[in-house]
Amino acid sequence: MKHSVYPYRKNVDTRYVFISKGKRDIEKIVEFTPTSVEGLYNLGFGDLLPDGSVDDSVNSNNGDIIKVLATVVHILKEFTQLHPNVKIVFTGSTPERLILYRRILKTYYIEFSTEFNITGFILENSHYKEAIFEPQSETEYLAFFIRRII
Amino acid sequence: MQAEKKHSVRKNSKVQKTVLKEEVIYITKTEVPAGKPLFADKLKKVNKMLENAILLK
Repeated sequence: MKHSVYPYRKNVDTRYVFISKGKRDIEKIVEFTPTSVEGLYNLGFGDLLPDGSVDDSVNSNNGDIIKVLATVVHILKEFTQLHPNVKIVFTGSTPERLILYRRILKTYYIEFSTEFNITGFILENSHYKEAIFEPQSETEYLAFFIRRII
Repeated sequence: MQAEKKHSVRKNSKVQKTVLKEEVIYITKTEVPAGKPLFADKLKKVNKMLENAILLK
């Protein structure tokens, strides 16, 4: 993913912010939050609203989606470089976002898989299960995990 | 002379342009409470999925 990225800054150790400069300026935030599983962090990403809350379901339609997602990937790489033992989980706040994340993983799988171990969350016999992510498979993934391997 | 014409704006003219100032949310103006997860709903959803989930080592 060799796209240009927006400059970003770390707000606190687990929060990164940047401004999407498309049709208008929108402040974006990426947050890594510990989950109930030790060493597993949830990646949250959305628009930062004036009242300090966030919206992770809005479709900003700001015309710079590639640059915004490249920035998020860059942040993800930095965070996992700083914390190489953590595992990250992320899912879409809407079905469309989940499809988008899957498409990105599929498109850049060869590049990402040299750096990360990528797995997905599937529902099998009413049980959630982590399985190896297969980019060409028709499997329905409910979330994705990544862990740095180098 | 031409430059002057370009900048002149006739009142009530249809060619008058309205410049809308886009709202810019600056980092320094937004207070984000520290220590509280911002994506609490997403975290809750993920934690729910993780309950009794079979994870790879």
